[in-house]
Amino acid sequence: MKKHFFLPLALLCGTFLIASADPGANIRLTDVSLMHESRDTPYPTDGWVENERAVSFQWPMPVWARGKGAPLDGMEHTVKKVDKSKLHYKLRYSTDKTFPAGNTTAVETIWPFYNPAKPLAPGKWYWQYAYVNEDGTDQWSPVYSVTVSDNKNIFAPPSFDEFIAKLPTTHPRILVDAAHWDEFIENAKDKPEYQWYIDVANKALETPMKRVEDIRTDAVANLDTPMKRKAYLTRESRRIIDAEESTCDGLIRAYLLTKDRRYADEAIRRITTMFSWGDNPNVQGDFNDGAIVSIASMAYDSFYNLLTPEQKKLFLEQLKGRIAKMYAHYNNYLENHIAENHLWQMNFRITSLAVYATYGDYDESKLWADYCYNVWLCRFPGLNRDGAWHNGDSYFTVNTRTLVEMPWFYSRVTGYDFFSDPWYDLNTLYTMYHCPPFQKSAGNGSSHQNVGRPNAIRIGYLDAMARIRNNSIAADFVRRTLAKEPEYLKKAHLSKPGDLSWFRLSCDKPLPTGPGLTALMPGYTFPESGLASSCSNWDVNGANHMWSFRSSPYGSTSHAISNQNAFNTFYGGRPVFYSSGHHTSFTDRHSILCHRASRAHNTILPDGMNQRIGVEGYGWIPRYYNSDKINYVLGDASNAYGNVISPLWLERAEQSDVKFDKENGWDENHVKTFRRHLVDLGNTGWILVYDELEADKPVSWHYLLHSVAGPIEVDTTSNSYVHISTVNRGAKGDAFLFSSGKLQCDTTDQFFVPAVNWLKGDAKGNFKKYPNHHHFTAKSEKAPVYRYAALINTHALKHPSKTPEIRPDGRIRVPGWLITVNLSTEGKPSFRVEKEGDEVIVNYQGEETIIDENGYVTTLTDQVPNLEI
Amino acid sequence: MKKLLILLLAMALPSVAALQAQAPRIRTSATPAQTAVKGAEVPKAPKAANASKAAKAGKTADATAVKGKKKGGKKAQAVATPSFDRPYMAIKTNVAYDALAVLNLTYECQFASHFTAEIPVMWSLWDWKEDRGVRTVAIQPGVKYWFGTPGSGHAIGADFDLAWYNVKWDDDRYQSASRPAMGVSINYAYSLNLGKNWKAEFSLGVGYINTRYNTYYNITDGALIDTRTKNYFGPTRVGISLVYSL
Repeated sequence: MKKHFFLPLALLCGTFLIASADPGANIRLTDVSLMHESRDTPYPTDGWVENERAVSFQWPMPVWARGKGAPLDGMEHTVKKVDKSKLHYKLRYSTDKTFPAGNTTAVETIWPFYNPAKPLAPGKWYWQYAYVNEDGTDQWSPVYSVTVSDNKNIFAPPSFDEFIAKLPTTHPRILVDAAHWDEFIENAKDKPEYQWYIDVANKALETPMKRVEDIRTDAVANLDTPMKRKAYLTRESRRIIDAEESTCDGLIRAYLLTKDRRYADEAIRRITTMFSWGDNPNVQGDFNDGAIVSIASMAYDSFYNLLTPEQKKLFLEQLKGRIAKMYAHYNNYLENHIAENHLWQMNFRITSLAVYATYGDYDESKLWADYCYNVWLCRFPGLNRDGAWHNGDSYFTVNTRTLVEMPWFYSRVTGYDFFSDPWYDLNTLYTMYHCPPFQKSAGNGSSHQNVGRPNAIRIGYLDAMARIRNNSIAADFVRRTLAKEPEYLKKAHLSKPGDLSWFRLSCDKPLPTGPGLTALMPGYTFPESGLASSCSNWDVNGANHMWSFRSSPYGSTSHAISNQNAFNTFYGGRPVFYSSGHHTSFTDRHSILCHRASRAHNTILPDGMNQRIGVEGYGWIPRYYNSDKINYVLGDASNAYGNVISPLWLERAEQSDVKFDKENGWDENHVKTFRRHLVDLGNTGWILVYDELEADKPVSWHYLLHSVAGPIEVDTTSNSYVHISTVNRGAKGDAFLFSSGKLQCDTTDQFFVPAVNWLKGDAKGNFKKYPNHHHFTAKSEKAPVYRYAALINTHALKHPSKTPEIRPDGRIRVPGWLITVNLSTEGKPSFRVEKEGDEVIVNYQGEETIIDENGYVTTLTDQVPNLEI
Repeated sequence: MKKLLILLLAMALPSVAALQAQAPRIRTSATPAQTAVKGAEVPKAPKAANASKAAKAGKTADATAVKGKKKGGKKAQAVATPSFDRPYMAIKTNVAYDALAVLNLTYECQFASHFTAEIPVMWSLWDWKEDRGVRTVAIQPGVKYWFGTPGSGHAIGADFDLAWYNVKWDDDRYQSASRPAMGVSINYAYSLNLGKNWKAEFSLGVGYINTRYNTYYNITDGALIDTRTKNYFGPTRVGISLVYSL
């Protein structure tokens, strides 16, 4: 390796910059985690300035009451039991920090949140909460302040009282409002989705229903742990129950579209049969109760005027029992959980709509409706505000119905536009940037390998956002897809988490016209979720160079993988250097050690040790800059490494026969600094990845690259760099890796633990084999300080990459760009990137990053994002 | 060539310069106060920066103009040397090229009893569609020997070929690098009288062209893939020209 490409002139320039640098340019965080499985910080945080939405007060629960939730599907019985009847809170808020009588609002609540009925007036407010102890004493928190901006367009939905007063008292009221039922049918008749439902319902009339005895159990005997047996039965029982849920759903909706009694009778017959299925020991997992509640509540509401009193009683009993169980589970848990996937995906929506469908028919419905509505107001979408989805590409789409149907329903009832929540427009950007048209997704979150292109659910979601938000860019995305496959949306019909056919029947807004995808800037950064990506060509998919990057405060919990400071590269929609491993299950050995673990991603491992699993293995994005000519992102994974300490993940590992030990790649942390700068060199397909590494003792820094398609070739003949390349059909990646010292390179096509498919069989019990992936590792000599610089070109296979030209003055030239990097372990880390023939310069000399773009100079210092839990 | 094209485009579209003066679209973690105009207290720097760019373009324009003047002067002198009572002179356009959006005009003038000289100038500054287009400025000065009266019947000739080009085709874009494509060719022509001053001329030329060119990805600001040199032997001219004799 060439040791040092450093331009003396740049040093001189750098000296001036360093001398004038703000000493606070670099922030070294010391928090064990930035976010918490259960809320650990009040919200709004002290000093928060709110200019976007009505203030909702939220606070941590007492430590003893904080639940982790079920560690795994089918392991709900292991959840810590909490006596929630002991939880009482007080809240007071005022514009005076002494909380004087007459100028203070005092509230008592049984939930750790409170939404004021009217938005707080602009100005500075003070607030504090208290735990009410069993002896009646109050344990008050410190006093916090929040400033409400004078923004008249804040998102401020109506209070629960206003909502519930407008909830129709007649049936049906959920899928359609009785007052507009006939009008709805008339409008729906001309839309293709109308016939889709009728076809499903007619087929159901002629097809026998599935039986709970049909749940496959033949593979259970081969599984070696209770976790595997539970996971397998959960999946197989869902196969039967979900299929029946889907059929009944089709029957219910066909009835609402036709008022044909045959559909209602068949649905009632099937649902009544399913009421007893929960008694079968092979029915596992929390989604099955949700399925029953979903169809039973929609049937109750839709067939209300057809049901006999006995049937109504039966349905109500079945619903009430299950909803009571759900409420008992949710309250004082869901609202303070970092992101309870199963509940936000489906079950919370199902519960909420079931409560509204039966509202007024039993005493508890008021409490439960109050809870459901107010949790939606304070926590939705249960994420930060930047619009990205923390759990990545695949599991985002399973939330689609919730994301659309709930606010659509609330908007219809209240008349307030719930989609005016700024999060929706940002989330539409996320949806497009992290899975461009016809292209592979960005590579985040477990199971991302399966997202080969935006699926019909994703397109359906963009279609909905385009219509509701009048978003012509999203509309262009949809049109491009439907131009090639006009029936594409039908692929999602009756998809349990993602079918928006009913939404389209009830929405008469057209797909808007206007600026399309080419109006998007190439790159976009979601700093709170820690995601960044860029596309060079939004117009021609086959010529698009794309990269993605993650360094996230969420760490690796839920479906988020342990890929802090990792990048992925793509050309023409095909992944090139890309994250590896298979989502064989949520927590089996391969899934954790080879898909979730950092060894599976394009990042760096000290002495081969992985980043922590859990929120404690976090990264963050201190700086970013996106423009039409240059994209830059800085990720900081200095806190990502070390032994796994998350109680939730230690429990999951134990139940899954996985050890987070040195042999498997977890050890005491020695990393002090891992800051990765990624500079996108215009739209050339070249990126510079510059790494600053420091440890508290000499360690070997393992540089990883992976490929899920072609093998990885390594050429070490250059004295300046290691050339690593791989091919994925017509796409090729060439990485030229420069380093502080000599590297020992290795490639393999074997996983650390083989990917065995024991879980995901088809209906006939066939288990498809998982292919191997390809892995490259470059190991440095042991050193406490180290620097890597990779110049990576992602391009069409038929156009071979130029090799970087090393100039006599030490500068590196790739087409159109000149680069200076300090690879020496001495001196400050630094680099300078300059575009030839244009005034675009990125200059980093160890402190600020200074970007000069056509006379506009931006000085980037570290900014800690605002995080919500 | 690239600079020339930019100059021509800038002349045709004055708004281009105005567009360049706009601030870049930026989304950044930096606070608004952390973005400043370079070297100026008020937002004059972008204008200055782009003015600087414009000045560069202006320099190119001036240089090109001077160059053109010199060339023009020499040619004017050369053309002026022979003298005839009524020399054959014509202007013509090759409709085959026109059909491909390559506009062209040729001036032809007799300088000896059976000889004429001509200067065809071709230019195309438009794309056919988003991923295809031939942008070029080319000249093919040459001489022709007419077997009969100049401007009528059969003729053979030779010419010198010079072309700057920028061709995009599907995934790739090809652009003449550092120097124009250069070559020589021989050609055959047949001119048909259409009445009064109008004629049709059919021509075919073959020859040798040497060119050095860059290949880029065919996207905006697409990366340079490589630079190659090509020696070409083959047809260099196909003409179906409409001629107006002066």
